[in-house]
Amino acid sequence: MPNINIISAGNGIENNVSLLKENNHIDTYSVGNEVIRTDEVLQKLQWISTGAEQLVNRRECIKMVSKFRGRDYVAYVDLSVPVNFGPWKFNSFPGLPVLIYDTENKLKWTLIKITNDSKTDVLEFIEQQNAYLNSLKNLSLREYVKLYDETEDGHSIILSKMSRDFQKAPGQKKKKRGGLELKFEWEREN
Amino acid sequence: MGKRELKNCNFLFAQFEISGSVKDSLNRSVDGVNILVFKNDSLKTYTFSNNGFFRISNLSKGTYKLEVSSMVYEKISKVVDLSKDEIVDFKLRDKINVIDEVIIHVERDIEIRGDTIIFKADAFNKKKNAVVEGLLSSIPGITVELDGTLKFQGELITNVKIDNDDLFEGGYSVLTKNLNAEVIDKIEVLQNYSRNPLLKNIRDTQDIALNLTLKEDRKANLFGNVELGYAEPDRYDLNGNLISLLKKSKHYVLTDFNTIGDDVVSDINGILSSKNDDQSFNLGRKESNYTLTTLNTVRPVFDNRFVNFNDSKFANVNSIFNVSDNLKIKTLGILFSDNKAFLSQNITNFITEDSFTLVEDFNTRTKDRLGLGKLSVEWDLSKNERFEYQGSYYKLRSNGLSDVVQNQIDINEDLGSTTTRHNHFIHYTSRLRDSSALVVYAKYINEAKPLEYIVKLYLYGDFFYPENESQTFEQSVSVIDSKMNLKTIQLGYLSNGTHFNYEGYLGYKNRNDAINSNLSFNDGEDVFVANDDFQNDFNLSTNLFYLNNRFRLSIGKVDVFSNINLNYNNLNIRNSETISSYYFLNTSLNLKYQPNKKHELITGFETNGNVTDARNTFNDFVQFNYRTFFRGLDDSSLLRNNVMYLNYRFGNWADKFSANLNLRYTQNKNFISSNSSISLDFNTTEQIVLDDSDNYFIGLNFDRYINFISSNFKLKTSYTQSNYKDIINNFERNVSSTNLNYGFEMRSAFNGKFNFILGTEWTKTAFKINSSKADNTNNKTFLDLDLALFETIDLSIINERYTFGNLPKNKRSYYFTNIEAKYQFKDSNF
Repeated sequence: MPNINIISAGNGIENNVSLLKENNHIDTYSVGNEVIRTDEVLQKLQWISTGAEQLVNRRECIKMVSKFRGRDYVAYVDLSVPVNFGPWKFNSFPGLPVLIYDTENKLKWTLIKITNDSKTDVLEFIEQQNAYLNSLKNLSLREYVKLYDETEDGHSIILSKMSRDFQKAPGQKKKKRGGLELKFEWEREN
Repeated sequence: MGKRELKNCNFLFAQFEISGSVKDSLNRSVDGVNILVFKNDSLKTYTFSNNGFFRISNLSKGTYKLEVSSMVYEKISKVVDLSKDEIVDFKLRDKINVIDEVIIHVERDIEIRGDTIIFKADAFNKKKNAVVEGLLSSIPGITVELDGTLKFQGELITNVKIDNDDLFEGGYSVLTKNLNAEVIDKIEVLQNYSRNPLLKNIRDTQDIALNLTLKEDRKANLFGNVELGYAEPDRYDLNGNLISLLKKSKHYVLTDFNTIGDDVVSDINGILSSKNDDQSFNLGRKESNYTLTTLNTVRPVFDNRFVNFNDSKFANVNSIFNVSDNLKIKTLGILFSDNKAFLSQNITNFITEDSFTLVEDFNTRTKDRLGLGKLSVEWDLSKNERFEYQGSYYKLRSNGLSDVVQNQIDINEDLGSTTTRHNHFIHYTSRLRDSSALVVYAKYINEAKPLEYIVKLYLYGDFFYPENESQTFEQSVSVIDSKMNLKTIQLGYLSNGTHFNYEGYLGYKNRNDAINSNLSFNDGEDVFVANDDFQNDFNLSTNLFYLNNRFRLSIGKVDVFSNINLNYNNLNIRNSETISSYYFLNTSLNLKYQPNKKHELITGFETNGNVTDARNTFNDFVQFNYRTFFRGLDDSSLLRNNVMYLNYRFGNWADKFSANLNLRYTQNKNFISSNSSISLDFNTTEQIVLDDSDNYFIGLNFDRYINFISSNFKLKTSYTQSNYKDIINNFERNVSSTNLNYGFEMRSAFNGKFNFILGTEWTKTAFKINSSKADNTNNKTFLDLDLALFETIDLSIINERYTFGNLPKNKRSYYFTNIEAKYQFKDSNF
């Protein structure tokens, strides 16, 4: 019998916006077939250098580590490029992150392209993003996480719609979250 | 504690801080620049400027280098010898040069390039599969069916190529079931695939193809592997590959020897034809001789490894020669043999005027031997012109022996046939402008299939010869010599625009069929020939001229498709010198409306005409099996039908509620029915054409996720009714057969260690024949329990109950329980 193991049911679009002055971070998540926008308190990460240096994709990088929402991450940072933001919710780097992955080897971000865009292009892009994000339904991240936990990110719904021929593969960690963020700041408070 | 002691404490811990301001050349505060702190050339810590200030604490005594950098300012470094708290101020100058644009090439596990999705094999081959088929089933989206057919997200995969070479056309299961998975580097899913590269984006297509690329380090001169599995006595599986990739040629050798029930070559004609209905490139999958005689080779529908008793030997060599950049020559050779065994017991009750029961016990062994050779030439004449030739030859020897016990009588069957087939095909494509093309093809097929069928014991009473003579008969011998040849030529024009698409084909097809058969009996010394009704000297010549047109028009969210096919068919039955001509039009009009993701409506209407072919027209009896003789119609006929259908889908699979409605109505103006004579000794069946039969079908499915029980509920029902007439033992029957299916299924989605699937399905089959009725209801109920015992062990208990309404009360229900335990190895990532 064919085995099916559903990992994620999203639609692949990623929008991450950090607003420094407002101390707010905006992200998008999918719920079923719909995309919703979440707002959360901007989390500043702390990266610690391991002292190791390595050539990654032909760039000289230093190896740094950090923890974020239940996962441990390793980042290779190119100090010669003085930016401090990375992909997704990663920030506060001393340089350009070229490669980031988690210690369980489940997530990986790799830098593939650096382009120079004109100021007008960038402003236009910001306007488009603003319009898009403001058009979506809005939840606080905390509300979204509650919804995610209750329905297992919709996995349970989709799995229950499969025909009898499809069985779940063994080894599913049913009680734990399986996405990018396993534990949130407000949970440590309890 | 006095001041003196405090001073000592400070000296011991020695933690200092560096702070200061960051300003630009106009003395304005600068925010958000990186301030990196190095000690001995390695990064110790860092911070960012905030409101023009920074502070770094907890630094022990030593020499530090502070570096301030930003995208818009020049980098500044200052060295600080730290022995007390220090203040360091930075004044930044504007940067002149900017970072260079760069594209970094990185290997990713999944990449999407336009219509192509590329998967890296190693990232998905977690279970270390032996053959490619296993690797493909672990790629998300790809499913593998029992016969090896592949689908991607539910759509049929029509070709599987290796390093961009298509070796097996529609018969790709030979490759996927034999090629070792270790040599595969990437799996490319090519959507909107066009087998003919010049027709890409011209012809409307939903086809999907796979391209398997080989690992770079495997591109050595010669590599290969052998896998051997051995179970109890006589159960083995030996699988070997050899691959040689040279500069101007590539060679693949695949071999498989198994007795574990794996059907390596399930469809030999698949290798010589395509899996889809592409009229621009019709390799001819359906044109062959007809099967007129068979042995009982029925197998229960369980996994092949349990019920396919085989002894299969397979060897295949493929070579591809890149003669030049534009010319490629491919050769393929196959040698295959298979011995199979089949067992079955049937009990059939015949309710005729003299009712009787037939009890049959079959023990059948078959032996197939095949040799096949194929040559293909692909020549790119220019950037816009392409020529292709394919020629193949095969010879298949099939033999079967069967021991049958019928109503306590011992019978032996011996069936032997040799099929010899030649197939030649040439194809030319010219791409006119960017969105239209001209295609021409010509095809020639020649196939001969002589067959001999011997039945030991003479079973036919006094039907052929009076009792006193037929008493001594020992066996009956049926010899059928079928031959066919086909010649066809077609000219096609395709054009694609933003809102419309047109395909037009003008063609001529000539097919000749010859069926020569005779039936005789012998008593060990003499041969007695059956009467003329059981001898065939049939020769049919068919000429078809056609003009097929297909239009598609897209207006907003609506797609309209239409087919208009004009046909002129001329049949000449040589032996009876009957010539018939038919002019007919086949049309269809279809509409697809998809306003948004939630709704989809497809509806249409078609009228079809089909002229009867040789299998319907030979007019004397041939022997079908040990107790049945059949023959075709007296004359050819044009069969017409009309079909109307509607499919509506609401919601899709991710929604809480989704539903599907399917309606179909087929009306046959005339159809082929049968006039049969059934008795305990044997049956005869004649094909006849009758008027008016129809068929209704309605199907409805609902899917609803119910929150408070965390389960999904499915409700299915379908109803089909067929009305037709036939004749049995001179008795005309008006038959109305109906089939009603209804049932539900509930599948839980609990977060805990336990889940279940519960379902039941009733099938009610009813017949109304003239004024008598009969019906039967069967039921299948199941309850699957799924327990996740620990993180790595999964236990499933599958319970099924089958109830057969037509069996006696105490033998009606059967229960099956299946317990399966699965263990997942720890180092697997998923």
